[in-house]
Amino acid sequence: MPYSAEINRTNPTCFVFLVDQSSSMLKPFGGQPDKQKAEGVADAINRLLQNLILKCAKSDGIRDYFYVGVIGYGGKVVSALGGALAGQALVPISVIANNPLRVEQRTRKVDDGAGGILEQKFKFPIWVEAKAIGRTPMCEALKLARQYLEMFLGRFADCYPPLVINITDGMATDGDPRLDAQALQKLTSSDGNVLLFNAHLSAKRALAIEYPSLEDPLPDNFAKLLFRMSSKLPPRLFEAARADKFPLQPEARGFVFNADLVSVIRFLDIGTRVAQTIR
Amino acid sequence: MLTEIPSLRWYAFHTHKRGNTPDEYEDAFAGDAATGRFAVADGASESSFTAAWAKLLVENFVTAKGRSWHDLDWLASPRQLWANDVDAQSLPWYAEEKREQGAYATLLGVAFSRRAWHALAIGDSCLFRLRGGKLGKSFPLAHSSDFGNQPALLGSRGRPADTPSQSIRRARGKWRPGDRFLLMTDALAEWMLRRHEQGQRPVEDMDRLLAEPAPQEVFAAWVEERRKNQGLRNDDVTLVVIDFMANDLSFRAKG
Repeated sequence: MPYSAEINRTNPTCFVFLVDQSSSMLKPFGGQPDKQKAEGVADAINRLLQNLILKCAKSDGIRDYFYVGVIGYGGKVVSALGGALAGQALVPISVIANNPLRVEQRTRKVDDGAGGILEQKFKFPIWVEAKAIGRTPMCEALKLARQYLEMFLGRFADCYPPLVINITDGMATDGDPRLDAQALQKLTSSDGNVLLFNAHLSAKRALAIEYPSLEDPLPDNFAKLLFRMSSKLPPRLFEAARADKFPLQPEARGFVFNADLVSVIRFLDIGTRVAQTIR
Repeated sequence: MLTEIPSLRWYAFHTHKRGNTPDEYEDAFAGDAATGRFAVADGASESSFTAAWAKLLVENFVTAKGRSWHDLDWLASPRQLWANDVDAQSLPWYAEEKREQGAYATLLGVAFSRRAWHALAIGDSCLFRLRGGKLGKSFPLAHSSDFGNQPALLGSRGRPADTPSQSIRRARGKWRPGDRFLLMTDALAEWMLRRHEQGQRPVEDMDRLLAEPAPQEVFAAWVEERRKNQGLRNDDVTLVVIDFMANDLSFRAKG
């Protein structure tokens, strides 16, 4: 059965994040109108990286179950990693963990277990800053992701298929991204095709939609285009999502509208799961 | 004392997940023939400081005063010990966050008294009672399809939401001389039930292992063989075997 390879340190898999940093990201975010989309995108990618790291963190350090690349596209297409990681393509997750640009102190509200709410401080590492500049070369970003993954698959031919997560407001300026998406999804390991999931951050104040099976309920053509580019959830991810109480229909796709894809990380199987992620 | 007239004998076997090092083993087991209490636990691989938590759980289940299979008050002590151990450490941000979340493990404990047994389960570690070479009772899961990768867990931070009361399972029964009880963490238990469902006689398979001159020494290879050829999931594996000697009615356990 495809998508069943064990993810471990000798046979890791790969995440490539594509981050839309174009000038349209200056507009407010529908989900949180007091926030620019660029800030929403930066929060989303930082939270994804944080959760990916926490999934691999043990008391004695980080286990390198994943290699990670972050590609920014705003005007030009480049590695969006900064600081000590500036310009790097794919790096082991432990290297990401130990090299954030900075670690912010944030607060969150938690249930105190007795009907009340507690404010709890927590550390929020930043790897990618909010940025909004230039046009939206999404096709070129998908091409660069393909180069990263050809390299990775050359080394780990039997890995759990790599995942590409594209976070965008949906408006490519350099052509029809579906062709480059398809070319990316044609890459395979012996365990299956590369997966492309899309997170659409829109200025529209529409309800969040997670893992739909049909494009009809989606509010605009950009969302529909991204939906069509998104891979279907493989059976085990589908089952894990259902077990997590996502009301999925058959053929659900790796697409969310005004929502985040942190849950995908939770669905991946690296051993006995604990039902927690950082929001 | 039981040790003078050993109507009960117990053995434990364990091996780590392939690809991990032996010190990354995060299951745990404990037993005390004198009190008639035994336990296995499976630390959740996604949590941190997990092996220590699993070990504290089984040891405290076995040594707790009172009916540890019935009331869970005894958990306060291992939770405090765990926190004392980890809260003082200076850690990088990710380890700090994982420490804050707490460690998680399944627990299966059983307590034998004069004629009866009482078991407690949180999660998918399983107890099997064998009688006359046949698989009898299985608890808390009865089918291989009941296993998933998100079992109920006991958390070291003791948040009420972590372990809802419906995920705490209890069972009881009678034991007879000649009975054999097996306690297992999930990968082996799933294998056992699946092979049984397929008519493959896993009990006999296990009997042959236990009849080896030095079963401990061949256990890891025995597991690896079944990982390769019989779909035994690659995970830490722990097995506790408790045998009640036939024709010996002298067992008296406390508790």
